[in-house]
Amino acid sequence: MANAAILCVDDESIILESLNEQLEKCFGPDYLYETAESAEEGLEIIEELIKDEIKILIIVADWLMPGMNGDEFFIKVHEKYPSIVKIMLTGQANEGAINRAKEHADLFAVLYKPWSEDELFNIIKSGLGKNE
Amino acid sequence: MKNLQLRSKLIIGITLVFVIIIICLIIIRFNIIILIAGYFLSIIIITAITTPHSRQIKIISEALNKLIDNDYSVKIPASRSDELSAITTGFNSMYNQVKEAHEALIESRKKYEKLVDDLEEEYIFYSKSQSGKLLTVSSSVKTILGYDSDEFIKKRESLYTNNPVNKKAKEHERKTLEGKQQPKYTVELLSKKGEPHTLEISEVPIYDEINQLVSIEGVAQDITKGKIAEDLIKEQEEKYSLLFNKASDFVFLYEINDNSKPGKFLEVNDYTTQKLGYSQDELIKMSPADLTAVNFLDDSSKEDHLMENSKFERIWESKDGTLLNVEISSHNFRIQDRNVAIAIARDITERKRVEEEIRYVNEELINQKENLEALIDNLTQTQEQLVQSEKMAALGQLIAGVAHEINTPLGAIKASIGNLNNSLDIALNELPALITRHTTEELKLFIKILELSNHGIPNISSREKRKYRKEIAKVLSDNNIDSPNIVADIFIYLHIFEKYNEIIDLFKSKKSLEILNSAKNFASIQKNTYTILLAVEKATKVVFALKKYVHKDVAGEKVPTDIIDGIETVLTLYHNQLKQGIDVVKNYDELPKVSCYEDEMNQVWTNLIHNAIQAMDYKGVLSISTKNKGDHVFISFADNGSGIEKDIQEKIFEPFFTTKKQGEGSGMGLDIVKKIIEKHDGKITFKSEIGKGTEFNIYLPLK
Repeated sequence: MANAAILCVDDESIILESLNEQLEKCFGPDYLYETAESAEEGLEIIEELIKDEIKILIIVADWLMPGMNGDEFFIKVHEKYPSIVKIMLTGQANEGAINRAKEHADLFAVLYKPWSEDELFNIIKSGLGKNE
Repeated sequence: MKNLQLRSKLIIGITLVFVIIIICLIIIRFNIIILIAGYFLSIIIITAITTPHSRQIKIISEALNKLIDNDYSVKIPASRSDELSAITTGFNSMYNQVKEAHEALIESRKKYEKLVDDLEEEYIFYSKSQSGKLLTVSSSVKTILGYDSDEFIKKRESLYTNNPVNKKAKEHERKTLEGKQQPKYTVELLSKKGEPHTLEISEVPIYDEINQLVSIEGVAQDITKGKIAEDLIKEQEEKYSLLFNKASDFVFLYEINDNSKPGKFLEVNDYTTQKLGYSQDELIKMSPADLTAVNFLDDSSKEDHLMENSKFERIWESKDGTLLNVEISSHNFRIQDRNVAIAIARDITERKRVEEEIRYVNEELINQKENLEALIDNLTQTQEQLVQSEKMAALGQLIAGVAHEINTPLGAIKASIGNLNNSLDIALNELPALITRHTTEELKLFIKILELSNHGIPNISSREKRKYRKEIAKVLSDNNIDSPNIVADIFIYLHIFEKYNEIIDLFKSKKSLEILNSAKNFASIQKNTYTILLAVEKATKVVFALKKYVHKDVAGEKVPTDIIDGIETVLTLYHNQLKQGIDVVKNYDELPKVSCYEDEMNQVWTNLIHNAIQAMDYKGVLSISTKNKGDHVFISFADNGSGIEKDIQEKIFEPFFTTKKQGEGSGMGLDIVKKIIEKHDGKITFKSEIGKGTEFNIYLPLK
């Protein structure tokens, strides 16, 4: 059983569903594909996975979300788990937020919606490579 | 009365003496001749006949004496003696002559007395002693002044008034006493009634044979009535003269020539000379037309004749060249066969100046008004631009969210299409094998799995999904099924959360995972198609809201508008910002359509919702309610944000007032909201409490 996970955080279920399937298709059964509908839930899942001794390799998160925004979420994650690769997937780039995430959360990449499969594949792949 | 008559008769008598003296002088001269003749006659008679004639002579002599005493009763009888007869005839002839003269005298005396009587109404006759003491006064003093003669004599000195003429009168009186004949003079005395009477005095000093002043005879004529009239005329004259000269208008008299044009000045008042700088002498050589400033003659005044009884304006030039606006009113009349006109001209230079000033100020005002109107037009345009730019600013803020709103479904669509293609490829490839390779039992499982899978996106959170996955994995594991986690994952993917029990037994087959994967591929086609559908709906909604939001009113006319629809549109556009932490509580009464500028109304909802979001800092409860009150509607937006400070509450509707950071708001928002609501004859009010939030209430009439 896979002991490494890729976490997707987005408040839109259509994104989570389609993204999840896309990742699974690209990277196969070697990884666990987890989804969270908000940053808060994302933090919960991280803790659960850690507890289950599953290593979180990559987090793909939206920026504009109810409650906590992507940059804030990444900063929080980074404080505790700096090694997790953080990729922002957003429909609208807020320069300030991106810069904050880069500065304080070591943001790995920014993907813009609508993204292409290749783009996603390449970024995740390089992210995974960074982690290995 | 008798006494008075007696006295006056005495005076008349005295006066008569003059006449009598004169008459006597004539008569005496005549008598002397007669006497001389008589004397010679007597001598002749005495020497010639002596005694026989003496009786006749004695008769004649007596008759003569009587005649001298004015006794005309005697008549001498004829004498036989020739000599005496001649004397008698002579005497008788003389007698007749004297008698005639005497009768004429009486006649003239009667006439004189009548004259005096007539004169008594107006004249007082008096005589004074050489020392000036009043001796006699005619009784007419009673008629004229109301005093008896004696009374007048006693009181005379006290009757003089204070009139200065009396001083002169005294002087004349004194001079008369010195024997100097004085011209007529006047004196003013008080009548018994206390009224001043003016008397004209003429006095004549009377001398005796040795040129010694014996008395002064005087006549006083009451000229009071005439005096009063005269005084009145004099007073009038003075008044008019004063009026004429002291008038602070040009007053002048001028000739009218035969061609009815103005001739020379006849008389001008002081004001005219002072104001024009010409002397009287200079002016009387000029005509009013000469004063007209040549340069200023317009067509109407070229023929500068002063029309009869008319009022007109001229520009006059004074001697020093000063120009004066005058308004002349002139009246023609005839005086001693001459055509003249009297005119009053008023200096209206100042009035003209003021009029000109007023005209100028008026023009200025009109200009200013035009400027202001242009300014207002400008402002209106600017305001419209501001409304537009505020709208664009709000839109700009929305765009960010909207981009996300559209890019999200686009992302989902793109990913789903990729997934769909992939699943379809696999499914198509696997299809022949699936049909041929699997047993009927296995195919039944395949069909069952597809039946159980929910193609929609269930209303279930990822958290719940995880819980289900764990549960399912445990159940599978407990049932000794291989790869429970992978199977559980697929179950979750297929949205089979609870009904897995129905197929759990089938998973004991070795091919079950293969079948499950095949089913997953088929389900993926449906699932991704559904995701695409959802995404398209989502994008459509946003695009529709955007389209609605920027919708331009048809020719700026009011249209029946669904208020709630408008609010919902804005909420859709603000979905991204609201979803971050704001609960929108809607409490809608169904509303009739309200006639309004839809576009502008959307801006109202945008501004209020946007303000509420910022006031709550993206976290809180936004309550929106609508109420139908029959003839009007109420719409309220309540947030539980920070509230508005008391001291700025009254400023929030002021243009450019903002508490937001630079770039976050123009400060025009609420000003525009208020203007739009007022444009719809509505009202907007608010209540706010620090820490509790703000509620805006909008009232809109339904016509």
